[in-house]
Amino acid sequence: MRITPRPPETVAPADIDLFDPERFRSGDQHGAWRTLRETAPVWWHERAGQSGFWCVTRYAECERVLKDYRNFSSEHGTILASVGAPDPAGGATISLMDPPRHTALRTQAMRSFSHTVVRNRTPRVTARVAALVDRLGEGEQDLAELARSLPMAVTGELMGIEEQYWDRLAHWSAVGLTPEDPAFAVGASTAATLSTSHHEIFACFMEIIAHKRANPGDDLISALIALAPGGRPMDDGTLLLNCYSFMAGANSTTPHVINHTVLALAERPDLWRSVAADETLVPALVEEGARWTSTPYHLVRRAVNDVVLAGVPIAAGDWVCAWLPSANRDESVFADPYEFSLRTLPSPHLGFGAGPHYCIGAPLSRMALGVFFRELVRRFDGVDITAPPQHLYSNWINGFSSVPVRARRRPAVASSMPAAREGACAHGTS
Amino acid sequence: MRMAHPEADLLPELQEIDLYDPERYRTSSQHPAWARLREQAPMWAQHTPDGDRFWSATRHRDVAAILMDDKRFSSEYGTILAVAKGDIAGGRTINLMDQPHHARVRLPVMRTMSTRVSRERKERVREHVRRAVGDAFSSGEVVDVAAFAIHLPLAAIGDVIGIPRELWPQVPRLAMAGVAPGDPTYSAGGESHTLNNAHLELFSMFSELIQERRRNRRDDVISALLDIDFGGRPLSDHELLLNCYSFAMGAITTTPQVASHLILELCRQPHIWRRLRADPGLVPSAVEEALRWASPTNHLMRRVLAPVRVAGVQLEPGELVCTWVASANRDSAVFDDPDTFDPGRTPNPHLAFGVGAHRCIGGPPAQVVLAVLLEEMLDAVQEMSLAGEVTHMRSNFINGITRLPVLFRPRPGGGAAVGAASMASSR
Repeated sequence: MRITPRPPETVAPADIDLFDPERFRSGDQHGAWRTLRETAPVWWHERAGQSGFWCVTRYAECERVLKDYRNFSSEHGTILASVGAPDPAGGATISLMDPPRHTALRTQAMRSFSHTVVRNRTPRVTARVAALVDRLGEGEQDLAELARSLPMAVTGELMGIEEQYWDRLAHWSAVGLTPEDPAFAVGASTAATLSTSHHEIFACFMEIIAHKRANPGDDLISALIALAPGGRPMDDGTLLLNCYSFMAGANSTTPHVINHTVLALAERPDLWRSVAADETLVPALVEEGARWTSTPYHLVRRAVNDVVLAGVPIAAGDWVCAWLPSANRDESVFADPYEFSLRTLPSPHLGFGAGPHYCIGAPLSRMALGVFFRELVRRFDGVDITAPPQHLYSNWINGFSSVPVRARRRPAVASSMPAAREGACAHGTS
Repeated sequence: MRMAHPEADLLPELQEIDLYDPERYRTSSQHPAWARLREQAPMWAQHTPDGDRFWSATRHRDVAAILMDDKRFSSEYGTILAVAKGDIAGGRTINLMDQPHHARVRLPVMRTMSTRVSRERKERVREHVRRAVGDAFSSGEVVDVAAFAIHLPLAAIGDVIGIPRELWPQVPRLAMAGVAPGDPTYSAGGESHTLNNAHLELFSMFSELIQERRRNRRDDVISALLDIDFGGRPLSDHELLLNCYSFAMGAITTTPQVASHLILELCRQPHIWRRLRADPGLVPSAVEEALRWASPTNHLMRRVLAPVRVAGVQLEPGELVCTWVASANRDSAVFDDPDTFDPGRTPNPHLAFGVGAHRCIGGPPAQVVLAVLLEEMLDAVQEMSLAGEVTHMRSNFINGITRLPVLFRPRPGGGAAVGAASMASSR
């Protein structure tokens, strides 16, 4: 979806459609969200012939829906595609479980993604990410394609996935996450595309799981195999679903924060120069990139009790959709929310979600994004957009199928600066 | 709330944290969340389920600074998260008053429970404590510590407030229902029904006592309240009732939690109990450590009156700030090994009683009754162990224990050393 740096015009409620993926591909929904925040923060979205759903657009109510898991369950599905057609994996995979069942699985997985693990991985990740950034120096490149390969390079080893699978999994998860997008179509229909991608992904994981059963290691998949939630180990089908959840979570999000942030930087040469001159600004850039992008667009929950939200009665069984880009533009929480600017840390954005399902890979994602932007500004002065970026046809993933760019190398003198600065730092702290 | 030691590597991320949800206090510990906030976001905003934003202050120095600064941080709007929409008693009872009204009530009442008065009453308190404890320490049977701890506060200040002894058995349960109407232990026919019923019973009791004291003043809080000069007029009947209620609630809902958390920790860490037995002179510092450890009120809320900056965050008039006393009391900037229970800890600048103008007025009697309890245990108990599952209170305000089954093994020939223990601790 396009993101413009100015407050959007409000729109007539009758013109709001937050389901149609085309509106996200070719338009900008911020006007609709602003309208709803101001006039109907908990709004019933009708759909012809299909189940409607509540749209929640202000920060406070989005936070409530995501944290209050006892009233707003994840077990029936967490995306708009599940509204009216509950997810068959409900209750079986980490993202579709409520506490307390969710807690045991999450605690184990957290050990694989903890801050200590992330710290220990940083040197290896840095080398891999630097190699990716280097490729931007080789003439015109598709940033979207390059960014798609980053999550596996960062999380592959932690998950226990060998390098031979990385490209396949990155490609097929992009297809599986936005099967409606023509760029990824492999069959006659969305359903055919989706089933092909699932088939490919599950084939990879069946091999990986079999291998890990025989050769357990210090990785997430080995940990999941050893884990026995509720007293018995997970069967292969459940293991597969969980592997898929973790991988999809990584592949669907971080690449698009890179795409959107680089585009924002390309339009703001001063900001690029500021970060290049002072790398301590990188963490603030990462947080603003996550707020600015806010992908996924939505997280869906299902009310399991009658509950009142911002004065609006919601019935047990109703579907409730929290719109993260809207919460992250809430004027009562963020000053000048339509500005891309380096904000005071910690930023309270909901770009990684909130509550028990808060993105488990956030520490890893933050680290990888930080390394990517740092290596980017060290090598290049800026990027030129060489053709219009292609936005995804999706109401879920705020991303791109392609972002053609040409990076401008730093002049020779300037390129020696990082080394000089590091030298100075070393002297300063010795 | 469970008092688990935060595992440094598994602290929750900021957006996982929910300091409102009362259920989390019943089923888990918020200490990992507070540790994360102290480290990364010492002022952090969250919304209540009703959509009201509140800031959380978690560091000792910020909590102390906010509580000391009663000119910019008001108590009149309400001081607990449950009334983030505003407390109907605001401005009309001692804990919900700003200056100068607050001092007009506090100063006359303070005399009735000063440190000196409280120490002089110690042996009378001991008699009451013995009645409340009964044969819990000597029966050799499993007892629910929470069930007798709830009677300690009136043993300490029932006489001082002016509540007749025949009413002592019933009052504590009503008071607990008043702060935790949603907890299954106190709930009777739904949360609002439980609350209304508790209020009705307590108010009618105090109403009768006030009428009686109007005719015959005594040396107690109710009488002192009747004679207050509240800016050229006495307190109205409604204000009198609300203040009686505040004093009773302040006492009854807090002190038992300190006793229960102390005994729970003594069961879990027998070496602490052995150390106390070897050196009864540690009783006063052990009481302070129990206060720090338990922090019976998790939070105290204030409302901003004038623009002010705290920990880099600019606050504007009208904003709500929750100071998490329980977090301040685990701040490693102030306490060495804050997650270790050290009965010999000195100095111990804990904020369990709050600080500033609203510092707990009942602090001295609470310290006395807790010291008496510990002395009685040292005298009568050989060792103790947990004898069943511990149940914690469903409340974001009171860090309570609603069930604590303990087996006390009586000390052979217990009872002879009372004098020695009490003398040691009163040095």
